[in-house]
Amino acid sequence: MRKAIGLILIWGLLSALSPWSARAQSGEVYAITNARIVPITRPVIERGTIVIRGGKIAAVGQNVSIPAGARVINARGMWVYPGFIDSGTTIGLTEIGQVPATVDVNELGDFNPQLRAITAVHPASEIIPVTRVNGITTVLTTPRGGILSGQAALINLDGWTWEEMLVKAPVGIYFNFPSIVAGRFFDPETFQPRERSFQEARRQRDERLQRVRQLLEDARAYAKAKKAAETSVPEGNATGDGDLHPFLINPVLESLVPVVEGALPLIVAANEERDIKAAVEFAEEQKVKIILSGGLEAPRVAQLLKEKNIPVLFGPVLSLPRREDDPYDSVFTAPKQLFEAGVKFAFLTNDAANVRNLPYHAAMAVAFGLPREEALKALTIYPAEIFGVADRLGSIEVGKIANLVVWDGDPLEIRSQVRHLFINGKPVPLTSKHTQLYERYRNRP
Amino acid sequence: MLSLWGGVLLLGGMISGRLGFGQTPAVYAIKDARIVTVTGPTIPKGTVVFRDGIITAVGENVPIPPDARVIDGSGLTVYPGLFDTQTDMGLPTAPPAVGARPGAWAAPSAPAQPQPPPLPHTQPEWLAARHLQIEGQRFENVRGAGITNVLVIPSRGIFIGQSAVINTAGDTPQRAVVKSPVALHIGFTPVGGGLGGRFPGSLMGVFAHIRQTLLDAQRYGQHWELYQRDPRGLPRPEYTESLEALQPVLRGERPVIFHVNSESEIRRAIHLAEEFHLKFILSGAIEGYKAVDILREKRVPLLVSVNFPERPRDADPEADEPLRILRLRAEAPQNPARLHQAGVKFAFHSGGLSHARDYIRNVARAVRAGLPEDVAVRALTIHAAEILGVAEQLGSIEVGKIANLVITDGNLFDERTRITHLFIDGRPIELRPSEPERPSAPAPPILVTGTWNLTVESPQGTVPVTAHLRQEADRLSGVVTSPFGQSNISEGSVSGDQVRFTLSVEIQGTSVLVTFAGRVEGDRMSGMVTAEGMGSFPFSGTRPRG
Amino acid sequence: MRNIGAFSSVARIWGLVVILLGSGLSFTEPVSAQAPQSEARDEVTLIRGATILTVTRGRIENGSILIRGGKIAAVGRNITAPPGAKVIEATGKYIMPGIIDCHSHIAIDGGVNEGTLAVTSMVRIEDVLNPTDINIYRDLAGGVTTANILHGSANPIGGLNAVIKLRWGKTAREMLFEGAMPGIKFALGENPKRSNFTPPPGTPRRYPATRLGVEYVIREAFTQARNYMRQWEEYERRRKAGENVVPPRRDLKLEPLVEILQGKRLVHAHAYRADEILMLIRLAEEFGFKIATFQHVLEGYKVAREIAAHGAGASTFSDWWAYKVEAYDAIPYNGALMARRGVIVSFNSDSAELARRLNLEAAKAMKYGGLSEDEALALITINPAKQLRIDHRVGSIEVGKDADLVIYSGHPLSVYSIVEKVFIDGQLYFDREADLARRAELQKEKEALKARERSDERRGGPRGRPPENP
Repeated sequence: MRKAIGLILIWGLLSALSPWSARAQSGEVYAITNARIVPITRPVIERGTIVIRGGKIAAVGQNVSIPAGARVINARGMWVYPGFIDSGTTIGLTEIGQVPATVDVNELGDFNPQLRAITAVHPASEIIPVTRVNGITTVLTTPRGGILSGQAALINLDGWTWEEMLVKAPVGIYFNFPSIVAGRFFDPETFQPRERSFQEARRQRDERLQRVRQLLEDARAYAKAKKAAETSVPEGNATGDGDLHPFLINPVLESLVPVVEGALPLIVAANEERDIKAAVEFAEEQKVKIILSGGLEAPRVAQLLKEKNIPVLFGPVLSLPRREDDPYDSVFTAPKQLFEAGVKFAFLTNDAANVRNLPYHAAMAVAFGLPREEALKALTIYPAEIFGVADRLGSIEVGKIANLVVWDGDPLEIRSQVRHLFINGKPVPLTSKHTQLYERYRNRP
Repeated sequence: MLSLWGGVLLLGGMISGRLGFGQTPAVYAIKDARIVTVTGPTIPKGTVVFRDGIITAVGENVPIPPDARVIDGSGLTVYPGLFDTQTDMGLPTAPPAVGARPGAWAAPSAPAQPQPPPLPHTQPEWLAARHLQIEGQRFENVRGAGITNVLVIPSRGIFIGQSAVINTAGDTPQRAVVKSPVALHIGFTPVGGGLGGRFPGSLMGVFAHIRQTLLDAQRYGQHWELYQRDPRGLPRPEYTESLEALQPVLRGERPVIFHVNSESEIRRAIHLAEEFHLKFILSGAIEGYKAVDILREKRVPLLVSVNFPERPRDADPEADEPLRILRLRAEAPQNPARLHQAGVKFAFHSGGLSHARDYIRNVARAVRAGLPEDVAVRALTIHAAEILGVAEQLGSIEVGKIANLVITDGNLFDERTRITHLFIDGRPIELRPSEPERPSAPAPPILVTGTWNLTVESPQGTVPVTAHLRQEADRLSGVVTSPFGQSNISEGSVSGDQVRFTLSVEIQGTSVLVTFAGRVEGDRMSGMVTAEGMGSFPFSGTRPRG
Repeated sequence: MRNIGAFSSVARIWGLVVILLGSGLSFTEPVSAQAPQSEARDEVTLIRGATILTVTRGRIENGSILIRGGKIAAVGRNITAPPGAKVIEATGKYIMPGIIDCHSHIAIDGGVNEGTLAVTSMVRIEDVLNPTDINIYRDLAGGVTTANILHGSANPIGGLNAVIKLRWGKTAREMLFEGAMPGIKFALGENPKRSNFTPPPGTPRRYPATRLGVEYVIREAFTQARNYMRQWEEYERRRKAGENVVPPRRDLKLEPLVEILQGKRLVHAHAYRADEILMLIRLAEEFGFKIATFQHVLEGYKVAREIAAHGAGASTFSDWWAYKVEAYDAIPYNGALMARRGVIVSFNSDSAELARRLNLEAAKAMKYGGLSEDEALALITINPAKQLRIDHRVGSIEVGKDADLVIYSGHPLSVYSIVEKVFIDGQLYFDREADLARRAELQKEKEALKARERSDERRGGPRGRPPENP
């Protein structure tokens, strides 16, 4: 008995003395105190406290009692924002752009709606820590090959495995809307410059679109057959001809069933005015839901987008104007124009290594007229709503996942630094490959 | 519309596009016509007489020789034959053969690196006059538009060669040549290409190449001069045709004609010419009006293209063309007028317009855009002759000059005017109705239907492939046989001279998508075949006749 | 700072008349974004009431700048406008020196690279400058007044550069920065050895294919240059001695290399990895010349000591990384680490897009590495000026320097500030107000031209074959 108690005591002592590991257990409780809190969906709390428990936000407010045993972070003089969301990246699917072995973004073939990006997210990518230390905690990561590229996934930028990182998948199926590309181009197969007439270019585009239509048509038929198979009674068969007609699963069509049923959107990548219009028409015709991604010329089609309630994952804001005669600030002012037209949008970088600069895309939009509050929403609650996870992310509210970033200044200003970072309610160290190399070489004699 | 019918003179039964020389004297008098002499006042009603191809008299009251064939010119106007000061008609369409001069810069020494082959388009010694043909529909059309003289040279290349002024008719090509060489033509086409090609692959490479070649030519001249003065002790200079051909240019005895169109190109050419103190002319100069300051200051003569930029026909109707381009298209017809206002001397050329009629039509557009008509006529006649150095022989109706004359039933620039007579070297030319010419650039539609014997160069060796192709409009179908078996073509198309067809082949149990993409020229096909996931390989082959 | 002196109150009233320059001006140049008028070089302009960030002499609150003859004539607190001067009220604004982009490929016609040979020092960017490239205007609108236009990085030894001022609306020649020391582009690493590029089948691969080969190509070229010098020395000697001799062949490829050896041409070397940076330093030292700048130099922080000892400048990105293997160890602290070791560091764009916001890139050096405000601003002004040896003319707001100035709506290192006006040589080349005012008019002109063309087509105008494309 004494031995047992002794063992228990030693065990308890050891636990109490063990150094606080950076990755604490999710059962831990934290409190961020004395901070200026920007909940996004509610007014700013000048000086308040947030309690994190079990990975979630347990309490937010001015007078919130700090639970016993909570690890307290005094955030006096600092601001707390929700983690930012980048609505279009290839994080986890690429490491070094020029090294094919590290790139999983473009699969062969035009139609791969069944591919699941989440399964290939590389949790040890150096890009992940580099990104989150600048306050981006959640990203949409998408495959990009062919026409129907695959299933996009929303992930948090912390976790031992992709399962732990997963917030939601599929969020949509990435669809590179076919464009009409006429004029001179370089044929990679013959290494010759060639000329493509407008007629030919349009025909090619129409052909590609037709193949998409066909696929959706097949998916509808498949869905119908599937439903029939599920509801049919198992005695005998209706045709009465003695043959078996079991329902055979087709993974490609299977993946499109929720799309044709209107439950899963197509994330349509289109930038040109003509393509955006065509995409909207296509969605109407096919009765599918779409989210526009990129949408650099969306302001030209803002009325239509507003009418059809199509949200836009806009960007990258830091892009050159698409047309020679476009005003020099045309992409910078686009978010303001979308806002004024009542179109809902979020920001994306369409990058991986440079996702950390997401706040500065938003900042440029503010510099050119977008109200700052809207910019912040487009980094947080709007993408959460667009992706159907607003119950879990996008603002500092009780019950939501504790993705919280403590800043020493305005996060949209470059000079501001992140002081503390929580993802899934766990503190995340502010180290990355870059900070490590910095430390190492700053100490070279 | 300048009619290409009109009166046909059948004199002595010797005319059918080919001019015979008989014993019959060639003396003509055109009387009672309006004569636009160009260099003198226009004679409202007068006579021009010419014998054996030379003008012997021009005036109001000119005695008509008794042996002259008289043409009643009442209601008609006589102009000097018109010039087109740059065209590639009569010249071989293939690029000039590779020059003998090796590339100026070899790759750095690496044991495996072979000496690169000689550069194309480095042949200042190429003489257009040597490669000339003067028959064909194009010549008929050009004559039918009243053009009696052209400057022939290909339009693209770097050291393109030396041009010649020719008559647009003659018993033989040699008889048609009026002057050769006229000038050395320099263009700015990067003939090499890309990251794997040959030098020069970029525009700046072209400039470096031109500069280095001229320096080499300078040294060559210097070396020969020293050697001729006193050969003792000196290494003997090599005889290099191309550098030899550049000597008159460096001495300022032969002008250089630069092929340039945009303002930037114009200015660059002028600066380059000044580096080497070259005598030069600019040809093209579509944006000349943007550079009048320097053109006037340096007194640069121009050969101005009237191939005004147009909106491309099969372009994307929704393409957002920049304002810069729209403005250029609106302003281009005003170019000649503005050059004239600035005091810049120029002649005209067709700039590659495919129909000769459009040449005069576009000059008429320039007139409507503000160019005085008489200046337009001068630019088609005497200015061209002066700039090209044949003003003693052509360009105006003067005693002693060659009898190249075009006679119309009205104002040259009036759409309804017809050409009634044309004389070259004092001989009447039959004017046939113009037929659509085979345009030199867009090739006639190719015929792909047939059986093709192809070979594919793969790393495993050459693979024989037989393709039975059937073409319907721009679609291609058929069957392809190879050591891997036989497959139907799933998708195939024909566009211009490009073909493309895709099929599925079973290779080692896997179905592989194979795409052939190539070019057809007559019965020859060549290009690249891509096997999905396995790479791309060159292929070529022929379609046996019969 | 010189004070203009006391003028009468009449003069002061004149001075208070606000004339905003640059609205709706000359239309002879066919460019969609118009250039300003007025060539009068003895114009006098006074900009006043702003916070002046001189970069080299601190900050002046509520300050004024007097411009005369294209130069900064006075900088200070109380400068009165001389009679006839244009006055620009800039209360609440910030003024800094025009931004200098040390690595740009805008305004180049016909290819950024002559990639067919490993040594292409005979080609010149100056021969192919395109003054109508709209990106000139876009970068100007981002505050860039001077740019170092470089050959690409396809070759170990590339072509000769051109330093230009972004004088939008002028000819190519008129854009050249007068008297700027000539330079040349070198490139080390993955790009010149073509490791990320597969040539079409049938095309032989170009030497070199390894970093060792890159070193050798450069070494061989300088050896040839030395031999060339000897040949010419020999020729001169014998000619002066009265001998009958033929001069050696002038080689445009080797002459710039001779200039490098003679210290007359600046080497701007694109390099990434620490080993190749060191390699070039040692090779240069062996041949007796100095590298003027390393470009990109993303691992420069690993050999900052050696770079500083050699005396090379470093022109780098603020935070790009991971796009190539040799960029995988790139860190945004690179600039600060090198600066702390005494290297003169600049931030460049290598991109028409990034060049529009170099002020914000400079701010990143405060975030990553803790540079001060002036140190950060120096990265895009006086430092690149020094690297290009044009710091006697530009790079800071000091009396006697060119009046290349940018007026921002707020502090340039804040994301919320935008460029309002850009002066080059005292001329207003970009004015946001004027740009905004022009847009509707340009749009109308465009519609009118399009409409006229369509109606002409319908009436069946003459249609020629389009001119051949170059």
